[in-house]
Amino acid sequence: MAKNTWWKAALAIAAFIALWWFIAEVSHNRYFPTPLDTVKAFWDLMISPKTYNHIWLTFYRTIIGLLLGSTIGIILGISTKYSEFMDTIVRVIIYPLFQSFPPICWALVFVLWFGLSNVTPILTIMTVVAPFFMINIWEGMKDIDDTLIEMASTYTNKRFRILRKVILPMLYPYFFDASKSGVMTAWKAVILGELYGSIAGMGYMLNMAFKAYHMSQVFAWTMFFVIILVIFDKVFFNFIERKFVRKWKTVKSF
Amino acid sequence: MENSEVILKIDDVSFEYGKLKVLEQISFDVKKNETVCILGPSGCGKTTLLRLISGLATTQHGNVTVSGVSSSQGHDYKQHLGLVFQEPRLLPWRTTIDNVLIPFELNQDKVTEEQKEKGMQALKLVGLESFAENYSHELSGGMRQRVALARAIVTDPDILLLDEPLTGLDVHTKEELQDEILSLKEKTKRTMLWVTHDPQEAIYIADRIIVLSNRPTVVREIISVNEPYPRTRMSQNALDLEKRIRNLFSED
Ligand SMILES: Nc1ncnc2c1ncn2[C@@H]1O[C@H](COP(=O)(O)OP(=O)(O)OP(=O)(O)O)[C@@H](O)[C@H]1O
Ligand SMILES: [Mg+2]
Repeated sequence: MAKNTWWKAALAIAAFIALWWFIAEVSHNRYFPTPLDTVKAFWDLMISPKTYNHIWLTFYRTIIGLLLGSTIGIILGISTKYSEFMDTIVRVIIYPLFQSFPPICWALVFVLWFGLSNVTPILTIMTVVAPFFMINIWEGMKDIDDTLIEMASTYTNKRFRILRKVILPMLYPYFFDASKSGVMTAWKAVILGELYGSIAGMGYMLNMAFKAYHMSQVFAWTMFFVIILVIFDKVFFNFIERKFVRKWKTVKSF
Repeated sequence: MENSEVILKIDDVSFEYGKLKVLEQISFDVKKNETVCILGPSGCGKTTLLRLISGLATTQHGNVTVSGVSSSQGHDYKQHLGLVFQEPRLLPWRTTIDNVLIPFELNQDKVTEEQKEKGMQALKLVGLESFAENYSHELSGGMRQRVALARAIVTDPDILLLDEPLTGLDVHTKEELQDEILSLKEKTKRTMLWVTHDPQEAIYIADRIIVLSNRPTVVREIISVNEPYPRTRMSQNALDLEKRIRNLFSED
């Protein structure tokens, strides 16, 4: 960030907090905590070791769900290149279905099927992120430079090697885009999955706080949630983008 | 060139795309250390012929063999070839040297030190050893095509196939590369089959020129260019040959 945008950002945040405080004070509603109440609740959570168990559990579920969802999405996306049939299935049935089905419905369906367990949030994430990977990889497959595949085929008949050495590298930028939106979405979906389908984790704690009318705690959990998301976006993905992806994207094939 | 070993043998090859007859009973061969040019009008099936020879497409009729191995033998057959396309077709995420090594990587898990050495050797032959760590977008068009050339010879193929390799380049670069490929050929004892639509190019580089007709394509004439290298462009002999070739085409 450039120097002179720092204070602009700080000013914007200060203004936001001031406005929040003002509305909280004026409304004088015990379900609308002030920033101070929220920070206090946040602090209480932060010094409690249990908090980190819940965060870790949520993390763990998100990662497993992401791994499953991305694997399925990538396999389906790539299969469209090798089979007309899969291309049709993916375009006409799988993608529209998964894309339009609300995450909350998956969560509810999985609660009924699998009860309160790890399975429900994990499957919720999986079904929500798979289409991101599928559609991005699918688009990547459409944009693939066939002349490079042809070049590789003059040296070998081993299709798996061509996939690994030539096709997959062409898909990395698409995979990165999918991961980015996938992680964001998974992080939101896991809360839904846990809200209804689990007896631990951040979503569950959010629900508990809500049921106990502890609004400042609801806000505090939300803060945790947002902070982790921002860290992922600004630190992790920015790093990868700067280090790897830009090279891939600016470099066109010749 | 007499009595020398036949590397590539095209025997009675015909090919059609659906109803479109492209090649009809094409036969010729290329002997060891020979440079043979295929010269033909646009759309007559030169690329198609090269695809058949390189195993990218399969013959519907007739036989193609390289060093006695039939093109129907797939993988083993491909080990005998190096191919240069009209465009360089480099992998943009790989450095120059890694592009040159890709033929090895497509066939085995780990590139050996010896093969890496070969890669550098090939780059040296095309004068690009100092660009080994550059990416293709940092190279000029002529340099990229040189990299493609290095990639095609790194496996030491029995025959080098070139499909209008210099078509996209300016005249100066084109002539420079013609000379370079010829000298590379001398140094490494290559056998080459070079497709072109440019009679002057064919006359300058080829030992023999296979002149193809319009579709459905047959071998119209095989012309031997009996002039030692290095040749002079626009020599009387060259001009006479060019006239002869142009007459052949205008009969169509
Ligand atoms: N995949 C294909 N399917 C159908 N027809 C094709 C296909 N590829 C080429 N053709 C046709 O076959 C004929 C020969 O094509 P080819 O590319 O081999 O010609 P060429 O001699 O290389 O032409 P150029 O000088 O323009 O490169 C052309 O009429 C072309 O339209
Ligand atoms: Mg062609």
